[in-house]
Amino acid sequence: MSYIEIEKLSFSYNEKTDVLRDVNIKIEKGEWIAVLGHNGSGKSTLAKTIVGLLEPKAGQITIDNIVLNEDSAYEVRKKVGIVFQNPDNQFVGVTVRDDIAFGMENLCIPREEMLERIKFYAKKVNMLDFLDKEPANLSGGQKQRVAIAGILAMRSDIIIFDEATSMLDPYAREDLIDYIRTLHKEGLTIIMITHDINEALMADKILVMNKGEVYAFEETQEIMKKQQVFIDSHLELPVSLTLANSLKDDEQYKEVRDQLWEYALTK
Amino acid sequence: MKSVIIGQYIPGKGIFYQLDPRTKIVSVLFIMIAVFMLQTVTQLLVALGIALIVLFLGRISVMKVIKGLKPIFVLLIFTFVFQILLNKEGEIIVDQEMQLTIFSVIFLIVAFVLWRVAVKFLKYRFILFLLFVATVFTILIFVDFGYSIVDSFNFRVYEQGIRMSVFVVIRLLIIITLSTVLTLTTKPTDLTQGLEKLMHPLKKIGFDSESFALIISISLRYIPTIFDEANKIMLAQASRGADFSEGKLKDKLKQVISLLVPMFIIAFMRSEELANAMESRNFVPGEKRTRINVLVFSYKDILTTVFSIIILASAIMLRVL
Amino acid sequence: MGIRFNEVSYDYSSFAEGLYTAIRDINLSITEKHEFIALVGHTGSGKSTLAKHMNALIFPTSGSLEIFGNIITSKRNKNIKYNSIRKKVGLVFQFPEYQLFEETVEKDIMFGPLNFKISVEEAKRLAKEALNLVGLDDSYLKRNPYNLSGGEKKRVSIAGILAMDPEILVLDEPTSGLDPAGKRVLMDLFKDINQKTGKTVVIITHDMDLVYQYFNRVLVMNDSRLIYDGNPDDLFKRDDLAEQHLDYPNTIKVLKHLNEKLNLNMNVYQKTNEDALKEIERAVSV
Repeated sequence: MSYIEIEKLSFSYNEKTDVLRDVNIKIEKGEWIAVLGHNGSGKSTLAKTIVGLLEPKAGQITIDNIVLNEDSAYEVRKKVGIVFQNPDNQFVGVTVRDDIAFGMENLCIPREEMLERIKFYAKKVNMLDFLDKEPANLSGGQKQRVAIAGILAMRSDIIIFDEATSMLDPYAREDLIDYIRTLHKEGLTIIMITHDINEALMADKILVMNKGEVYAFEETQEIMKKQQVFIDSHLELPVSLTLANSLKDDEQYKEVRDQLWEYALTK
Repeated sequence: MKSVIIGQYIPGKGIFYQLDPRTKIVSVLFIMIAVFMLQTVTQLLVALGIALIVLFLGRISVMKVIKGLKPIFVLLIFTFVFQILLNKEGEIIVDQEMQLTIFSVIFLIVAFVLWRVAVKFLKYRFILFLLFVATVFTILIFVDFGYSIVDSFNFRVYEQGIRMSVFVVIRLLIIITLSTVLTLTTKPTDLTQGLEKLMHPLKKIGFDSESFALIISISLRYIPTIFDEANKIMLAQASRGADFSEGKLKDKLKQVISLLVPMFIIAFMRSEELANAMESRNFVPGEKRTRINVLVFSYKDILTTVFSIIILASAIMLRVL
Repeated sequence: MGIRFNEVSYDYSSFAEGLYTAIRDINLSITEKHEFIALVGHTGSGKSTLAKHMNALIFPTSGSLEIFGNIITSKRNKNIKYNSIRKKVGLVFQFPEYQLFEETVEKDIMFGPLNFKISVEEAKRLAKEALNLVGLDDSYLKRNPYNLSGGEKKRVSIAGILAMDPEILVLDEPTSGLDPAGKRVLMDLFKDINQKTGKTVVIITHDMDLVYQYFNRVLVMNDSRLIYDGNPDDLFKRDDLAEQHLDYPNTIKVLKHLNEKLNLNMNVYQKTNEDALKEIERAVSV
């Protein structure tokens, strides 16, 4: 069985329109999935159903062999953490230390253990010197890193990023993506919801949502070749790939195309 | 600007900074009750003296405390004057005949105008105010020529008036000094945790002290954020011609609404997002939680509590005997 | 006329950083007609602070600023009606949530004009016009602003300032958060307004592609100073942009990469994808 299995998932806020319709996804341990889609395609709703913040109308979510329901939500939340879009609206603690501790406090981790984990994970996200700082004195990028530390401290090994970079400036965005890359190397399973194709290119697989349904779910390289998928989803490929796809399929352009792909995937 | 506003906590050294917040809260409470039990001015003056000595021992800067008194300075003056003018018991201490004639009125108006003009150009508002009051008295006492508008009257100050005003003012001073010391030396989060622990027994009657304390500490954490947002909203609306300083009352109402509505909406969105974040991190209201911040009780706390109990007991005895 | 900055600096004290100079010794001249200016710079470089001076929301700490004949210095001048400057220079902020507050889109757009004592009927007409201008039809008039999507909210907030009919338009990241098609619709709109009515438009943006494609004048802020004031084409020909915390437009970056890896000699200074494609085809067929 896959690490995360979503079967026939449907969700709607009222009875009329389905925000998610018959979604079927399988995610393996350690995979980095980027979820793309236009505004209103259901990306955020998907994220919230996976951590049990929203109850589906139909279908089932299984994480590490635990079927998600009202009773098992607590257990599931130990394994899955979610970093939200607004860095300010998820920072609970009065200081960085307090915020990283929050999840552990909820799990009744003993104090000495908490202190150790805080030191360890704060160091990991480069916030060790900031433990006594208050959120008002932190940048958006710093707050997002604190959120990550808090989730790691709960020993979650699946992290969902729900448009976590969209409120950050370009530098902080790059930093965070680099950080996610490190997490991926260490074996964490990552579900990254974004509307930035350049970010999505870093992932192993790309899931394209369109009007509540799974429009495409394939290896990154495969999907990027399908220009139509992006046009239909109101998304725009990065310049390098638009050029790559526009070049005629002649032998003479092969090298150029390869270089354009290399640029897209490593930039 | 940010966290300096709340309770004006200023980091420092000295015994008051080392005490557990619970001790401080309980002691301040006991001492306040004790102060209310004292009945004579002498007793109060002794209490004030003790308070100053204690401040000195605790290495609290008296200047900082006086700064904390600034906001209620006007209230103190008002209380003082109120008692003096209205209390008519006891012997007459001051009995001064005064009159109000046409010339007095003219002089009074001139004095008033001079005062307002002086205030615009000079800085010493309080001294100018005192000068103005002295001038008013002088005019009322000495200008006795011209047509009398009212019969001559007597300005009287009674013994009880003075006694009561001093009494009330000193009481207020001590109480406000105590609470200023409390907020000066205790971080808002420690204060909240202290209250939380003290209110723990209330759980038996269904009051969830932990959730209450969490609500308070989250609110504290967002105060700087909310200030920032208010500022940004005002700038955005000012760009659309909303003038927060001028304008008729009707316009001002619209201005205020243009500030409050976005603030409320942002607050609602925030509470939903925050609730999601907390829930996803396994928060369940009412469930047991461990804590990263603990309060540590030491011998200093025991001594202080005993000291305040002694003070309260003495005050009760003085009253009863 | 227009806006002229004269050795303007702005300090403020923040609890986090103490006394902080947001902008320093700024000298800048913006004429009130026909200019189409991009304002770029890293976060914290002072762009927003600079913009807030342009409609007298904040006053310089030192130096002076002339806006449509009014001289603004650090002291408040009782003879100047600062509020009327805000009608002449319209500033749109980045987040619509800080601005939208009325029950209907129509009422919200009317807020600006009404504050400037325009009659209710005229304000209604201006609101409808501004709404259509940003690409939303009349059905939006009676809708609640908070029920709109992010992109729609953005447009309503821009309409709110357009309805005031300012002479100079300053916009802080008007296209952020919009999808690529939405970005182009708005940029084409601003360019259109600039060309048809002759109004000067100043746009703060991080998007170097837009800067390259739409603008003929760019102001670069770096660490509180204005370090470049000129043509984007010349700016992007420089080698040292990384030191100024700036990025190049994507077409230039991609073509530079191809030149380097494949030993080609293409002209990297292509503004659109189509031009870049042509250049590649030309280079390969040689």
